[in-house]
Amino acid sequence: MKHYMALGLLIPLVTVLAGCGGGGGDDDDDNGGVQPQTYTISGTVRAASNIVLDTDTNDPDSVYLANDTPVTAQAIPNPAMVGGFVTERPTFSLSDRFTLLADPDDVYVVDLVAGQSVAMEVANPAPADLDLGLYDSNLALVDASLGVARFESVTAPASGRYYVRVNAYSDKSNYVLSVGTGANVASTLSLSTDFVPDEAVVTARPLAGDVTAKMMAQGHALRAGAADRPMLVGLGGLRTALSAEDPLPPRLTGTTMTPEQAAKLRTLYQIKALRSQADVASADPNYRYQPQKVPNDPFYAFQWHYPLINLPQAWDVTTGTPASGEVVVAVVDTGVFLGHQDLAANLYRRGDGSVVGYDFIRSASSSNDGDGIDADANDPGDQSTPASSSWHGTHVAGTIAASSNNGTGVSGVAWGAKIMPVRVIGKGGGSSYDVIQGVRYAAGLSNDSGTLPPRRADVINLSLGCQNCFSASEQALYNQVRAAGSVVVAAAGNENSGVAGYPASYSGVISVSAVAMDRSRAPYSNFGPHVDVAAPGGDTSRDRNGDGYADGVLSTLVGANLVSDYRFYQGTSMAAPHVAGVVALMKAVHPALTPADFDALLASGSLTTDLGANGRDDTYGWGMIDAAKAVLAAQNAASGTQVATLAANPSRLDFGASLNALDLTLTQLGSGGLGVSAISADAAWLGVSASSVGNDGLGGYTVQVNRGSLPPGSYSAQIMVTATDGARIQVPVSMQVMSTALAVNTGRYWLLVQDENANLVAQFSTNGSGGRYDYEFSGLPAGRYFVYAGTDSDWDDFICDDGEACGAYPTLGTPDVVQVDGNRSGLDFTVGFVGSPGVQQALGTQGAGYARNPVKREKGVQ
Amino acid sequence: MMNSLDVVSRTLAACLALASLAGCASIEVVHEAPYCPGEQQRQAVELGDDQALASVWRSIQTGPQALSVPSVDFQQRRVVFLADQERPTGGYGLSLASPRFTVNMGEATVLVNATRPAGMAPQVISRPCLLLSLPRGAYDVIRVHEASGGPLWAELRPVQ
Repeated sequence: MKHYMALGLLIPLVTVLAGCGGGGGDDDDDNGGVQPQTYTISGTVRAASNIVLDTDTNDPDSVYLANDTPVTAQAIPNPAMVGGFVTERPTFSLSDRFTLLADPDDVYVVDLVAGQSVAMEVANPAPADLDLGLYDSNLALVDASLGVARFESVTAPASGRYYVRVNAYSDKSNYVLSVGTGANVASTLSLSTDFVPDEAVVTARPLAGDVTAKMMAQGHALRAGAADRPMLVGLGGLRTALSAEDPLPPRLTGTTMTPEQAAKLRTLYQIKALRSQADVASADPNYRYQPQKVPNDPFYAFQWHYPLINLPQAWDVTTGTPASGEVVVAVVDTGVFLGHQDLAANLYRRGDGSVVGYDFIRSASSSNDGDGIDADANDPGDQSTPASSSWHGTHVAGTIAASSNNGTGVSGVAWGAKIMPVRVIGKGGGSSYDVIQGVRYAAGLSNDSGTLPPRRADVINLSLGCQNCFSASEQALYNQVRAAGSVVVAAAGNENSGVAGYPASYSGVISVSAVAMDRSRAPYSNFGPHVDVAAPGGDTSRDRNGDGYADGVLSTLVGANLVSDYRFYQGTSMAAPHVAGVVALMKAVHPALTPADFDALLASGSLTTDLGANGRDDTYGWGMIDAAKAVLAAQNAASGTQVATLAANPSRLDFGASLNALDLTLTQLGSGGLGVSAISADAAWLGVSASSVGNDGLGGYTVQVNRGSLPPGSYSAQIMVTATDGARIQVPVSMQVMSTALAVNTGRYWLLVQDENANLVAQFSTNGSGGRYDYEFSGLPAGRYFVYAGTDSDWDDFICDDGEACGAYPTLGTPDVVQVDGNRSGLDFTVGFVGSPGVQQALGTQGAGYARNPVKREKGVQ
Repeated sequence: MMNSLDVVSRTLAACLALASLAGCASIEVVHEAPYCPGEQQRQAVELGDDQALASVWRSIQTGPQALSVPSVDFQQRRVVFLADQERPTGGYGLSLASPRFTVNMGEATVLVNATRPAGMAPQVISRPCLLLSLPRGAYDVIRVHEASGGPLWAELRPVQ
């Protein structure tokens, strides 16, 4: 008779069964008494060939093969998902494999294609700090990623064999390595970035005391700046009186590096040590500025919404600084946190340094600053505490014009422009009257303050509104503001409806709807005949690019202790400032641009990527704003001498492991009647065909890949496009071919059965064979159950933690009840890794895992 | 059935009555924010251990700078996570109205302020949340009321 060990309410039942001699469901009830029938369920769990487990996890009974050095490196396929565990020190936890031993390094050997990245997700980024290193076949250091966040990434410069090192810099954690799966994450402290060795840009926390004295005691030197602003610090000795530990981890056995790499590595580790100090707000490398499209701000990598609207291409032309004077954008909102480290330098100021702006909130209780209208547009917060305040105006201002390419925080759309903060919204919202006064001030019109700014704002952003609140006097105001020359941009609203919101729906105001990362309408965005243009507003219910962060718009914000911070928000509030910033870029190259000029260019399709129905539609208006097109259109309007170029959108195609076809759009930037004379692919498995092109060859193409009989691996190729003027552009293409064979090593798996109340009913563990895990649970009473499988790499009694393999019947994304009222077989399912927030949300556990009973187990069926 | 104003007044009265004897228990705000990603509906859940706290903590982080999971002594304190429903505009807030709470007949009463906007509102999706820790005591049920009155905001009962 097979037993199962049950918990909780089922323990008495097991006792009864054992005493009565009852058993499996295929036995007859032969004692004539009332006895619950029991049944058997069975199936097979499969791990795909690209799923690999670290051969030295903390599970004491899993297969153990040390992989701590290049000599003992664990070979992994490409593509692959590798789940592992490392610990800087012994765990000192009884029953762990690493109770008395440390396992600070896992080393893998893999063949990579040129430009291919290896990404790592750290399961417990606080307090654990794991780093990545990449070495070539000669064990020479190639790249390193030493951040303290959840993700790290290294990139292979050329095709070949590489060693990947996962190092536990501090504490312990599970991790997942992604090789060749298309995961694209940012590295915040990367060896391959260009920066000055032995220097750091350090900012002290407010009220931190004499930080400079402490740094000098640590062996560092203050080269410029002061404690109340960013400091340039010369990094000194590695061992100091205040730091007993060497910040550098031991060099991996047998590896080499150049002196320059050693200096850069030393710099990054010392910066990491500085970041761990409570009195340091930020510490970053002193990046070297290069004339390039991409700013060096560390969080720019998470601002997917900027490449989406072709901002890097626009920045090649302008970043918002005109030939003379400045472009001013008014943020009519909750105010701006004037002390933000990424905004202070871009505020519109008078000659005496005072900020040009105003607070028009009449109600002292609403203004939260103790009085009615005043000249201080600083945002004091719109709730009872800083932590619960939205800091909405600060977020909007950052999107428009955060200081950029300064090695700090985030980037803004038009970082050469200046921000005029105007407060009109406080605790509990804002009144129409206050908004009217704020807009009048920004436009240089008479207002209740009795003052005017030195010059009117070129652009006025209104990320606020109400529904069914049309006012004739307000319409008249916006007519007046438009006539004065200011372009007014407003958020369309977030009610997912076609009801007109105001001020966005006033004639003469640019109404902006929101799109998500995939250019679809954001689920909350309003639509309707009043929508003029779309822009990224975010969708935090998704993580489409797998960077570990929900797809919100990242911008400046304020932390709980009134410190500079950065957060993801979503809404048409976030979409509107993208357009406002693009208008600022246009004004920088065409200062005479009027609101009517902008409207005409918009309606001609010169400023947008057309989405939805051809031409204008109620979802996207005239399309999604395209910063590169807009800047070129403005230049063209200003001088009429633009050189036409071809542009491909997207600029690269990644088919991953499963996609077969993707769309590619070819357009012309500038004027000149350019077209496409030839388009081809340079690989036999790659094909391109026209789907909706005009006589000039511009328009939509379909790109297809044929994996056919290609062997497993990663592939790259190019689509070559030749313009009618002979110029050529290339579109890189990548894809993976997965093996259909079962995995060789996937480690020990736990199989669990839970009832509908999430009580553990039965479990066992098995090492399986070739990635196949057959299971059978017998003696189950009739009922409804869930079946799960996973690893417990960190041996914390939970399977399916972040960084551990996990599966559920019938699929991980939608676990379903197994109705047991008879024997059930064929309950097969596959396993993957718990890692990205998307997987966690699908699992419904957000990484909490499923409890397993470490005491009782049943052997797996062989 | 008592309305919320009755609850508020009786709670405050109980606090004052007991203040000279044992004092009233103190709630700590572990975290609060105007936007906490998650379900669209109102949420009130007790977090039973470090694992659950870490899971919720990670899910409500909205910035690229990783923050350490707060440390709570679950032997001494209970942790509850409260989040209002997701709404299409800013101006909504959820804050602790008083650090004091009282226990009566095995039920603890916690007072919160839930603010709502009027007029023009920022067009940002909001979902304010509170992460609170309460000292353990002779209570199983936690009832959350708005300090300004109104219907029960949430009730947390032990899982049977």
